[in-house]
Amino acid sequence: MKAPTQKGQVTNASETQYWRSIGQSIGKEEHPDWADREFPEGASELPENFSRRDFLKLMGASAGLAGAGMLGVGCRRPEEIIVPFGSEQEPGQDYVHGVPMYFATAMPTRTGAIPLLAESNEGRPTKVSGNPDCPSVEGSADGFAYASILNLYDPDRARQYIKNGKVFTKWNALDELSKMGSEEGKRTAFLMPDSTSPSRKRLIKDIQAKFGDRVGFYVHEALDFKIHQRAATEAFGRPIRPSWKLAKASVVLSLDCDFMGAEEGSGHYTCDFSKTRKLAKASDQMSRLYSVEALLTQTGANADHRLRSNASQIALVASYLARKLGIEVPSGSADVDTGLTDTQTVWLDACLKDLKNHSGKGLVLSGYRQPEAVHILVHRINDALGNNGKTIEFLPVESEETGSLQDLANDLGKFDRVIDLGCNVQYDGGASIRGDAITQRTAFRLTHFKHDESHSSEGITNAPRAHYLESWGDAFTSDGTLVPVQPLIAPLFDAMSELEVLAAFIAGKEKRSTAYEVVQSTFNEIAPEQSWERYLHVGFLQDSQTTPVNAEDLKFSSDVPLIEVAPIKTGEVELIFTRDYSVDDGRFANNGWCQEVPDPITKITWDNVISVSRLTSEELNLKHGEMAELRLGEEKVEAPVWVQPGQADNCVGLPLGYGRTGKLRIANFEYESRPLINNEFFGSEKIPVGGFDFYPLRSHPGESIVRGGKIRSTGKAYPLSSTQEHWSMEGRPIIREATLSEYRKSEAKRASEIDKEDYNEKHFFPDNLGLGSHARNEGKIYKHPYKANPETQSDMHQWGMSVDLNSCMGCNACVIACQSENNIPIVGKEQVANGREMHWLRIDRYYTGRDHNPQAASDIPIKDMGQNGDDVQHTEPWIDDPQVVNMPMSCVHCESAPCESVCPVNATVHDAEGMNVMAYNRCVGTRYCSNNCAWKVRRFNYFDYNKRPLENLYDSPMTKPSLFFDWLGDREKSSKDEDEWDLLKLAKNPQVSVRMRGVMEKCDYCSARIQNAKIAKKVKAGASGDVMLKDADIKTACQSACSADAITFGNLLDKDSAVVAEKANTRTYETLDFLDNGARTTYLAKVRNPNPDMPDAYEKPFSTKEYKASEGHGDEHDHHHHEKEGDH
Amino acid sequence: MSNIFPKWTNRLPLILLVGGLVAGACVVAGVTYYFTPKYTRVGYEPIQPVAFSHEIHSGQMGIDCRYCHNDVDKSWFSNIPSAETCMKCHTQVLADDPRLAPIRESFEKNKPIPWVQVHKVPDYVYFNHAVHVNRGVSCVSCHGKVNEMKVVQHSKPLSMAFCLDCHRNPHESVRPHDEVYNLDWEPPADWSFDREGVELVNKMNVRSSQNCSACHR
Repeated sequence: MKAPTQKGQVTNASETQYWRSIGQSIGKEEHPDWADREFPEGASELPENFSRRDFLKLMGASAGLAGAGMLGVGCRRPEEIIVPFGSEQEPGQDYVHGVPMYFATAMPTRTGAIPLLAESNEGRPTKVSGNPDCPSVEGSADGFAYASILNLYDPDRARQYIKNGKVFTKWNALDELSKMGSEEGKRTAFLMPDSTSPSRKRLIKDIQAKFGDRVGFYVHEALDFKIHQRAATEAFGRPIRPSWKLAKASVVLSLDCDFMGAEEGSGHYTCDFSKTRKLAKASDQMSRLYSVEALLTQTGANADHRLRSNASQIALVASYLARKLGIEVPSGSADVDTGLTDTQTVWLDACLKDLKNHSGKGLVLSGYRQPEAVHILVHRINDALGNNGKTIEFLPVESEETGSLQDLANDLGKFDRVIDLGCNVQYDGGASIRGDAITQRTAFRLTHFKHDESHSSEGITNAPRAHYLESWGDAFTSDGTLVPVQPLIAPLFDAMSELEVLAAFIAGKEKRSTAYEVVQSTFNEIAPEQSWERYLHVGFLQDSQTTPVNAEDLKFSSDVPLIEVAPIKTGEVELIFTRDYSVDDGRFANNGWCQEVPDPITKITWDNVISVSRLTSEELNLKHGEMAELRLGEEKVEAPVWVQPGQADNCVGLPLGYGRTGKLRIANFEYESRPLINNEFFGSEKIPVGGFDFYPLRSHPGESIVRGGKIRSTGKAYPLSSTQEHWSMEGRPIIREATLSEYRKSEAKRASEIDKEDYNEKHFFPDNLGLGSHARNEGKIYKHPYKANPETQSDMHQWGMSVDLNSCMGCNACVIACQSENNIPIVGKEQVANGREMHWLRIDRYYTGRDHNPQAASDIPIKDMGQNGDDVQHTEPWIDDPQVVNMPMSCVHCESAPCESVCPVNATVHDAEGMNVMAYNRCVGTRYCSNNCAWKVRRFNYFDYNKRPLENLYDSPMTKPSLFFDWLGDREKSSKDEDEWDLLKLAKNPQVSVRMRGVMEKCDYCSARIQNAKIAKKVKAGASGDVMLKDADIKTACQSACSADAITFGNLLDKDSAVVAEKANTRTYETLDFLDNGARTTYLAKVRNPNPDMPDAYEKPFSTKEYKASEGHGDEHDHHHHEKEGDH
Repeated sequence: MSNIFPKWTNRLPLILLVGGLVAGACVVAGVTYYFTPKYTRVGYEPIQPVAFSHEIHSGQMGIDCRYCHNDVDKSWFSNIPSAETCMKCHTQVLADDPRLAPIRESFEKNKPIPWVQVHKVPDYVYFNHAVHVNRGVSCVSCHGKVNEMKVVQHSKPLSMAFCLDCHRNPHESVRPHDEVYNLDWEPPADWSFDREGVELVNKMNVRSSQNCSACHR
C-alpha cells in the first residue's frame, strides 16, 4: 500500500504533513518501509534463532498438550459447587447477587477531593467514575482517580503490622498508639501528607488542645500545590485561596500554569475550560488561551499562542506585564529590558492588549512550579485587569498550625518520637533533609509498600496504610463542598487510616472512637440539621461550598516582592522538576495502568526522561535517547535524554516519581536476558524498568526550578518504549482544523450556497477548507452490512459516537477509564517497544510546524532514518515551536468494515445496531482483521498478559516444563506470584470477558454497558413495550470519563439524542473518509482562535497551511475525479 | 524381477479411501452425538447434599419459584436460597426430621450448604435471568418442568443452538406476563403462535437479539 497515492484521496498527501514524531517529520517521497508494516518491527515475527528444530519441538509439545488435555478433561464437565449465602442478612440490605452496586465516595487529593461514584461487584470495588450529581466538579475526574482503584489491589501493598520482625494485629497497634497518647512527659511529632479532611483537622485541634506543646504537626508533600493558597494569603494578608473560574474567562494567559495537566484539580479545570471552547455554531464565542512556559505541557499544547521561556524567566514576564499595567515593581528587581528578548516583549505587549480588552473576562494564571513572588505579582496583574472577583474568586480558609518538613527537621530535637502518617521522606524528602534523622526518631508509621517494612530501622511500628476505598474519611472539594470518603470494602489487610491513628492517640486510656464515628460527628458538627444518610447517599453536602470573599474587600497587604533573575550561565542548564503525567509524584508508580499509559506529550511509557530542546541538545552534545549525567552540586543522576519539540532552550524537564527501589513488581523490575529470544530492542543485557529518580537533585520538597545544572552525555544507549512511532499517518488529513475566522468564513459561504444543487451539508466545512473527501459512496469496497438485508438492521438502536477535537485536551482519563472498564491488561515496557500495547483507546498526538515543508527535508536517505525513522528526528529546526493536536482514536465501527471481510471464522461481525463486534471465542488469531484495519485500532493478545508475569511473558511449556504440569493441575493457575494473582483478580470487571492469548480485541463501544442498559430497560418495561434506550440510560466508559465532554455517544435513531445534535454540526468529518467505510465514530474539526495582532499570528493552522500551500491543490480535485471514474 | 507387493495391494488405494471415508464419517457422527450438549448435559442429575424435592415444594404445595429464588427477576443470577429461607417453614414443619439436619446445621452455624450446580452456561456466555422472566419467557422453557422433578435434572441442552432457536422465533416461547412462573401453563386451545404469540411479541416490543454481542462480550 502506498498511502499517498491512495485512490479517492482528495488532498495531495505528500504536501500535507501531520507527523506523530519528529522522526516522521523529515518526510519522504517514498515513505519508509516501517510505515507499511501492520505492526512495528518485531511485533508479529517469530524471534530470531527460532530454528526448524525449535518449531518441531513446539509442535510436538502442542500435540502432547492436546492429547493430555483430552484425557484430563474427558467429555463430562467437572462437578461444580454453588454456594448460597449463609443467611439472608449476610450480604447486606438491598444486595442482589449479580447486580453491581454504586456508592458515592471521594478520592482525597492534596488540596481538595474528587467526588466519585464507585461500582462494587460482589463486594469488590471495580471501577470509579466522577460523581455527576456533585455540582462542585460536575462529574469531572482526572486519570489518577480512574487509576486509583488499582492501588487498592497493589500486590506490593504493606500487609502486616510489624515491629522488629514481629507480626501483630491492628488492635495491638491501636493499643500502642493509645499508650503513646497516655504517656506522660513524652513529646510527639506527627508527620502527615496534605489533606483537606475536616475530621483530621478537628482531631488535630483536639490533640493540640489536650497535649499543648507536647505535640507538633508537620505536613509534607513533595509537590507544593499549597503555593496558591500561601501566595494569596501573603498577597492579601488574610487566609484565602484562589479559585479559578475558567468557564467565565474568555482570554486566559497561563504563566507556566499547566491547569489542564499537572495542576491539582486539572479534571475540573479542563471541564470548565472546555465549556469556553464548544462551538455548536460558528457564531458561538470561543475563548483564547495564551501560554508562556518552558516545558511543553498539556496546557501549552492546547494554547492558541505559546511563548517559550525559561521557567525562571517567567518572573521577568510577570514583572514586565506588571510594569506595563502601571504596577510599581521595586527597583533592583529583575532588569526587564535586558532579561527579555524583543520577540518576547512584542508577544507580551500584544497579549496584554488582548487581556486589557477583556477586562473582567480575562485571567492570568501562575503555576505551582513558580515561586511565591510570581504568584503575588500575578494577583496584582489580575487586579489591575479587573479580573479579581470575576474570573478568579478568593475563598476564605482556616489558618493552619502545621509546620513543614523543614520545620520538623529543625524542631526534631524537641520531640521524643515521630508518628509518620504515610510520608515517604526517605524517597521524596530532598537532599538537604534526607529523612534519615526523622526516620531514626520515628516510632510508628503508616506505610504504602511492603518493602518499606524491611527498609525500616529497628523499633519502628509499621502499619499498612488504608486506601481511600477501604477507610472512612471526609474532605472538601476545591470549591469547599464537603464530601464523604466512604469505604466499599473492609480493609484488605486490616489496614489503618490516619484518622484511626489520631483517634487512638487522643483516646489514651479512654474509649477509642472509630473512624466512622469521627467522620459522623464531624458531619454533625458542620451540618447538625442535615441527614447523614442522605449525605452518604448523594456523596456531598448540598450547598456547602465556601462563599467567596467580596473582591472589593481585598486589599493588597504585602509590597510587590523583589524579583531577581540572573541569566543562565553558558554551559549550565536550568532544572525544572515537574509532576509526572503518569505517576504523579510517585504515588502511582506501582500502578500498572499509570506506568503503561503513554505520557500525553512524549508518549513514553514505563520511564521518565530528561527532556531538552533541540538547540540545547546540539550545544551540549546530547544525543536523543542516550544516557546523560546530570549534575547539581554534589548530586548527580543518570537518565536518558529526550529532545522535546517546543521546549525552551537551556533547561531540562525532570518528571518526578520514578526510579523506585525495593521489591516493587510494577515500579521496579528487570527483564532477564533471554538467549532463546534475540530481542533486537533490548539486546542481551538485563534491562531495568521504572525510570529514574530525580529527587536526589532537589534540596528540599517543593523546589521546582533550580539553576546551575551541568549535563553531559555518557554515550550509553537506553531503550525507551514510546508508542508514538506506531501507525504512521503518512500526511493524510486525519486531524482537520481551522482557525475561528476560517470557520466563520466557511459557514458564511455555506449559508450562501445552501440552495445550490450539489450542496452537501454534512461535509461542507471540511470541504470549504479543501480537506474533505468528495468520494462518498458507502459500501463500495467492503460489504455493507445492511444494504442487501435491510431486515437485519435494528430500527430502534443504531449506535454512534462523535468526538469534539476542539474539546479534547489529551489528558488520558478516557484511556485509563477504558482500561478499568474493559479488563485491558498491561503488557510491560518490552512489549510496548514491540508495538503490542493493548489500550483499546489511544490518544494520538501530532506536531505540525510553521515553516515545515516535508518535501524540502527529503534529502536524507532512507537508510539513515533508522529503523523507526527516529534517528534524525530531533535535528529539524522547525520543531522548536510546533502546534500540537490530540486525537482520541479507537475502533470507529465502520459500517462497511474492512476487518469483517477478511475474518476467516466470522469472529468479527456486524450486529444489528451498527456495531462491529468481536466474538472472542471464535477468534483463532489470524490477525487478518488487524492487517486490514486502516485505523490500526485492533489489539492482539500475543501473550497471556493476565496470567503471566511481565518479565516472563516468553516462558512456555517448552522453555519451562513446570508450566505444563501447573496447567494440568489447575487450569486457572497463573504463573504470577500467588499474592499478586489473588489481588489482580479482584480488580476485574465481571461484566466483560477477560481475554486470553491469541485473541484479537478492540473497542466495542462498551458493549457490556449497552447490553446491561438494554436489559435494565427491558426489566423495567416488563410487559410494556418501552424498551428504547435514551441518552440517560447509556454512557460509554470513555464518555463518562471525559471531563471536557469531548466524547458523545448515543443512539443515532433517537432524534433527541446528543450524538445526533453533535453529528449535525458542520465541523463533523470522518477519518479516512475516502475509504467510504461509513465510520460510526466521527470527529468535529478542531478550531483554533489566534489573535491577528500577535507576532506569531497565523491565518490557518500550520497543518492546513501546509495543505493549502501545496501547489496544484486545485488540480488535485480533477485528478481525483479522473481516478474515480477510472474505478468504475 | 519378482513382485515385491502382492496383488491385493492394487486395491489398496481404494480400500484406504473407502476405509478412510467410513472412519471419518464415524468420527464425525460420534463427535456430533457424544460431544454435543444434548448428550453430555441433558439428563445430568447430580446427587445433592440435601434431598430437596422441587416436586413436593413447587408441584404439590405450589410454592412460587420466587419464594426461594427471589432475585431471579432482578439479576442475571437466579440465587440459591440460604438455609434461613428453608427454616421459615421448617421450624414448624418437619422440625426434627433427620433429612433436614444439614439445613438446621447450616442455619445455626451460618455455614452455607454446598449445592451441586446443575445448569451452567460457559463463562463467556452472559445469560441474564431477569430479562427473560420479566419479558414473558417462563422458567420452564430452559429448565423443564422442575415442579415435577424429585431431583433436579438438566432437561434442556442449553447449547447455543437451543438459545438461538428461541431467539429466532420468540413468538413460539413468550407467554402472558403473569404466567411466567406457572410451570404448568399450557396455551389455551385457541392460542396460535402466529396470532397470539406474534401479538404478544409486538405488544412487548420483544427484540430477541441474534447477534453475537447479545451474549458474548
